Amino acid sequence: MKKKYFKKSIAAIILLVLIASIMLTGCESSSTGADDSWDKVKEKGEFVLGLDESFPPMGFKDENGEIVGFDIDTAKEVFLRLGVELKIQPINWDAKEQELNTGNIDCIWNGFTINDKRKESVLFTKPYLNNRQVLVVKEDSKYNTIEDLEGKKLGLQAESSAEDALSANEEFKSKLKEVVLFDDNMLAIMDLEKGGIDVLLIDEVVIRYYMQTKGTSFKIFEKELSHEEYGIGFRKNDKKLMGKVQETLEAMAKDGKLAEISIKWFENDITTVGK
Amino acid sequence: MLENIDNILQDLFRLFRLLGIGALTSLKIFFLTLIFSMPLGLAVAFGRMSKNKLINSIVRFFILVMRGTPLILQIMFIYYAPSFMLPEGMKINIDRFVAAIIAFSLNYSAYFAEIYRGGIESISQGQYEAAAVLGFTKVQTFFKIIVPQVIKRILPSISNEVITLVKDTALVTTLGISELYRAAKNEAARVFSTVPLFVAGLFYLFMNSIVTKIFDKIEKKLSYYR
Amino acid sequence: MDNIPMLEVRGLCKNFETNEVLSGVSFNIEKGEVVAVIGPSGSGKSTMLRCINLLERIDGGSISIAGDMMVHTNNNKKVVYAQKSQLRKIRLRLGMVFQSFNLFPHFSVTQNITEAQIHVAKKDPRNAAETANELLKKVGLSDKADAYPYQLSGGQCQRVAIARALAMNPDILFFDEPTSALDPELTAEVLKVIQDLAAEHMTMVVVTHEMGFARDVADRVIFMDKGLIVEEGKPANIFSNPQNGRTKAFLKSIF
Repeated sequence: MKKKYFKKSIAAIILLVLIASIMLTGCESSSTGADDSWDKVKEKGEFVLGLDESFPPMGFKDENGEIVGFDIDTAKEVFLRLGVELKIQPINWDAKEQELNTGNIDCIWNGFTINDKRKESVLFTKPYLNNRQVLVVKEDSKYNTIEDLEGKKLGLQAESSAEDALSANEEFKSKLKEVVLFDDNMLAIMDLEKGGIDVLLIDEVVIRYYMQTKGTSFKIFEKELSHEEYGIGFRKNDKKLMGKVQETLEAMAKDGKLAEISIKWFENDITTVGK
Repeated sequence: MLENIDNILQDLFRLFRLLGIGALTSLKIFFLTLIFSMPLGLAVAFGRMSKNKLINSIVRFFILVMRGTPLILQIMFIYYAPSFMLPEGMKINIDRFVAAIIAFSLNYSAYFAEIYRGGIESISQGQYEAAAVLGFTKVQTFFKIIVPQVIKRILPSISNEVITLVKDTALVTTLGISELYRAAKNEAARVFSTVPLFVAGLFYLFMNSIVTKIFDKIEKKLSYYR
Repeated sequence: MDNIPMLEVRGLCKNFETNEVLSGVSFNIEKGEVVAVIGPSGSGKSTMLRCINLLERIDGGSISIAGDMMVHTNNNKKVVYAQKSQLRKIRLRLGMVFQSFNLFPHFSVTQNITEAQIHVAKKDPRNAAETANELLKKVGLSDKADAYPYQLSGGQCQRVAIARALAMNPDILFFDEPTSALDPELTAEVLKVIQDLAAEHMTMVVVTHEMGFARDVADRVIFMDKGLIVEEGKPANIFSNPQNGRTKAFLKSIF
């Protein structure tokens, strides 16, 4: 009896592993036919935007529970012009590629940094905003340059472009006393405020938004650690759909609507579409 | 000074309102899961106790997988599996909420099944025999004699699961469903403060203290005999 | 109608795995008889009672109640039980009292006695309650009507168990070592109830170790050993003048 049960469990585990590996390899969109990505959306009359709604100022939930942000305002305008209803779908950031590839969302539009690794699995629009990974310290801090930070504690958000930026700067990273990972940008900022870390590596847009809403002042180092661009991510084969959105963004840049939205959120036009 | 207090109160009120809406979703998941998983658990328990070798092995495997893998993975599996396993043309996307309820119900049914089984098997054979010689049918015996005794015995274990369920509802955040935890996390990110998370903790505590009270009441009602 | 025995057992065989517990037991019980079954542990006494009360499936032989076939073995050595509906009717004619009482702990004493009346015999709850009252008076426990089993002593529990069995108005009442689980001082109260029932000519089969009771109350004594009936007869004969060597040895060992 024992042996039988043992054999059955082994068979079951093998089966599970098979299923898991099939899932992990993920089915490539094998449509060899024409690109009907835009047609499908137009027909459905609905476009689903996927975001992690806890990333102010790009996309987040406001005090009334509405999802707002720079990316949201831009998207709303784009799809108003395209005559398609915009559906905003919160997702878990770790699962963004899954959600996109399984068709549960049609794009990732959430302060999504363009990088080569992501380009392998996602189709990006041209960049629409510049963002920098900057070093931030308390206003009264005596640190001013990168050299001042040797032997100090640095904090950043796990799995973020900040982490990537730091890894790209091996020399600087190796001179730090400690790198502290946080689940959230918010937690990292709070730790800087109370002195748990000496310096914070974070998106410039996030820290500037924080300073604007909270009225707190930080010192931001002039020289950024890395420079990145935000883009909108689509399924690899959805070229037509991406093209439509790109077109509309360029039109918005031309007629000044895009600049208007940027000023609302950042006080300046920091968009890079068509520039 | 008064203005400050007024602001704080307003903010607090807004926070409670936002978290309250999230909590309603948590409660929806909670009740739907209980409604489906508790009866399903009974069927699974019977399968587990079945003398039929085929049924028995299948059910044992089901219980092994459900209890042996993390619920959060099960939620993702159920949500994504159809998209991956069905051929390209047949894309059926399950609604997020439905996927979550299915995953929760299956998962909790396995736990309830083992609790039921433990309770049922702890009833002495003599009870069945006394009922049999008195002429009770198997169904009558089960519902009139066995079940009342089992309920009393499994109550503490059931309360464990129910309390865990209240907290597990937070796991649906992985599908982007906005329940209490996610609402708190979003608000925390928006105002750059951990207060919303702390308040969410109070919400969970409040809900579970009601659950605990209810189970205490039931236990008291059943204490008329030992 | 009086010539048909109340209970007729022929060649009863029962195996547990490779162990042959009953090797062909045959006996009759007449209406109104009180029969005591004695013998060493493992002789198959309880198993025999359980087989008759449909708690075990037999492996050979036949059993019939007042002429109605419960189970028999056909020519191909296959054991055939009567139809479910027939068995249910037969079941209602039999009552059993267990060594460990098996009262329902979540029911009060009265409820224990009325439940089967209401849900099996389909009696009106008020009638059932009346019957319960009378039976409680009979076994001397009227004051415990609303008590719960956990509040009673062993002897009280067993008396309630007897009342519960009587409530279904059985033709034969079986007792499986009714006092073996009781402290000595509580045994008497239970034996007294059984004695009263005997005086009322209730047909009873009592498996017991209480030899005094067997000698004083039984009409007939059956001695079993190793799955067979070794000797049976009037108590006076069995106890004072046993014929069989094994009977002698057993009686010697306990007296």
